[in-house]
Amino acid sequence: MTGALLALVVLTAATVFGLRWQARRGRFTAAASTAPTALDGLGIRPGAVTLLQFSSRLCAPCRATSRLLADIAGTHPAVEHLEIDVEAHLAAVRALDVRRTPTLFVLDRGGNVVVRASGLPARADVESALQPLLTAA
Amino acid sequence: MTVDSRGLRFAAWLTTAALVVVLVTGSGWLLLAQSLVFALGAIFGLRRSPYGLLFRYVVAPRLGPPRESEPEAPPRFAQLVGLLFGLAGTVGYLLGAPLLGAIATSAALAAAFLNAAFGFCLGCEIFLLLRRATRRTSTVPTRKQEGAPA
Repeated sequence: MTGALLALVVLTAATVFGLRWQARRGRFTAAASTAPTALDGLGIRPGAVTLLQFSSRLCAPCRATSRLLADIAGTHPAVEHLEIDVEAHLAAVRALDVRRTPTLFVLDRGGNVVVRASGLPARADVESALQPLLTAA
Repeated sequence: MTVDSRGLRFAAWLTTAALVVVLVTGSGWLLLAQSLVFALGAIFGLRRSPYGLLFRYVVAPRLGPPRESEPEAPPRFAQLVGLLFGLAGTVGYLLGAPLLGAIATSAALAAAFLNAAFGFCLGCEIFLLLRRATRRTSTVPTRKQEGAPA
């Protein structure tokens, strides 16, 4: 029964992949430094800490991410939530090496990218990513 | 247009089961039937696909009101991707290329299972990669790589 064996292999491999994917989903990591022009045209307001979210129309968790980030921005006057459609800003997508949606960047008041995450993040993780940037001002 | 999230998971589990049976039996006809389900889901939306109807009229009445709904476009895109793999596999199985059939079915099974078990969203992962690969951006300024010879 090679077919049954193949099915077992596929399901096992997918489970391993799925567990890794789930563990990394929404986790913040330090972002690589970007060219100063990478964020041009996105409408980032200087002076604010920005939650920059890249979304696409074929992405269900983008909506949940959008709701969460808008809610967090609503409770911090210094935080701005900016949602960008990837199709309209492919240049920025390439410059920032965005590969999946939602991808989220946290920018400090100087407009520098500090951390990034892909997938719906936990509220506590967003809050702790914001914390040092808000107190540094 | 939105769909009940539970209905999407239900459809993904049924798809997973169907594709496992296809792999075990090597049945091109069953894969053809599953491909038809993919096609109906991609064309008419998940709510009106056979699995969606089964959920709406048989499963949902026993579950109570929906707690969460999702936009319809992302799963529809996934059905379209499933259809492409399903058709490739059907051609393989029915025209005497069982290896092609098994590979295409395995790919579809992996995606359906990841969606069912982990909420993996195919559109989130591959749509942007497709866009990045197929569309040029003329507005992007050419940046010199640091350290690269001029």
